[in-house]
Amino acid sequence: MNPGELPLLELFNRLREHGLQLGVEEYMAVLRALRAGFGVRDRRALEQLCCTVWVKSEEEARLFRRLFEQMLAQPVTRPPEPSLPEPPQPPPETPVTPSPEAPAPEAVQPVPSPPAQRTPPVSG
Amino acid sequence: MANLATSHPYTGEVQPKPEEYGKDGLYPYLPSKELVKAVNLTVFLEKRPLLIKGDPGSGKTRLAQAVAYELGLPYEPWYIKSTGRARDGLYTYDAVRRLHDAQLAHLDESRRSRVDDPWNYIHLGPLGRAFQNEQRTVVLIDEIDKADIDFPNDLLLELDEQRFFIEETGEGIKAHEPPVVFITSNDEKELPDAFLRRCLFIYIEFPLPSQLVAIVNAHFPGSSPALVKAAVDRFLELRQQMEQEKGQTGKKVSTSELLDWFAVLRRHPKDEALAELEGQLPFPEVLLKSWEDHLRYLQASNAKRET
Repeated sequence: MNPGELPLLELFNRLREHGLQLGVEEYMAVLRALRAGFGVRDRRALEQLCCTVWVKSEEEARLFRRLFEQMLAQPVTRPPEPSLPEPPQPPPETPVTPSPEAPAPEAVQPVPSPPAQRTPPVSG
Repeated sequence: MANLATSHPYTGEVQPKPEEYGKDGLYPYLPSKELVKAVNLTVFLEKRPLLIKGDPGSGKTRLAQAVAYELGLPYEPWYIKSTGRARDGLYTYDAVRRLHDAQLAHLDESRRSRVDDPWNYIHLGPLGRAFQNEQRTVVLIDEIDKADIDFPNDLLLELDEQRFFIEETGEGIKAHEPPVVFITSNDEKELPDAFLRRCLFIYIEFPLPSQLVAIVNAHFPGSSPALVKAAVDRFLELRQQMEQEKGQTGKKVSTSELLDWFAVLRRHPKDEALAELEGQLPFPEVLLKSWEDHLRYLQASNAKRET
């Protein structure tokens, strides 16, 4: 997966254009978390991951949600979507499975490429 | 990775036992799912503190200890005062004491041996102890917005590089394990951009009515469900009333006040307490903290009775 192609990058750049103080490290932090299995369950989880790392106030959160909706929430109108609807891993609420989100790198399944191929970057 | 702290995630489901309540300020804590995820992200990303904002009483301060409790990690709270300096969290150096000892050293052999070693006059602060601890440590930096504007920036280097330098001894201390840092702010001051950039951020919403019921039940196990419900309803009614009058920004009754209030209520026989909840607000002094609020409340309840 080439991180440069993620529509996330476009979202990230748009946030920067809107004045959010973000640097490369903040982008990489999200990628690192994604590879470890954070934010890959569904769109909501991805949104929350990015929001936690990139947003620093409630005002920024409102802006973020709006942009996220615009850029990463296109209704699925095109080809099959194998990975998204039903998350493959067991529901992490069950207390018995101790490490649903534990970042042991070996345990990470080849990340169900989050929204990578989902929507080509479409703006506006 | 044989790291205890990261091998099992925080779930928010492990609560202290009733007999442990109040010990070192330990109480049940019921986090939202979003909050649980943010905590696990903070544990994973290591060098980024989690900045927590939210209504007063929404549970910003208590989170850190709840996480430490569930994960079985040491906990170091650091309560910021308006005069606090960033270095105090790392270490303090008692120069006056050393001078005192040095002046008396010729009279007293034990003082002389003491005075030679600057370490005898250095006390590590909460963050310093967390760095030194071989176990990963949960650090709370409470109400960072109370301090000087430079305060957060002064911590950047230490948090980024996970080490600090003790000038008096010329020694550097490097963190054995990166501490898990939680920072709360009440937004009294803006925080510097460079600092914010490195933080993870979450806003804790005020609990939903059903969550409030769960919180009260967790603190006072075995309470009568009818009483809990009546108290929460009455509390929310008051809160809503305050919100209408003061807008979103004014001081409103918070969760911690609800818990104090309920502690008083439940000491009365259930029927009596329920009856009290029907009438005038019982024990208003627990909930209403300003004369203004009292007046408003009295006016509102008088108006209600007249209609």
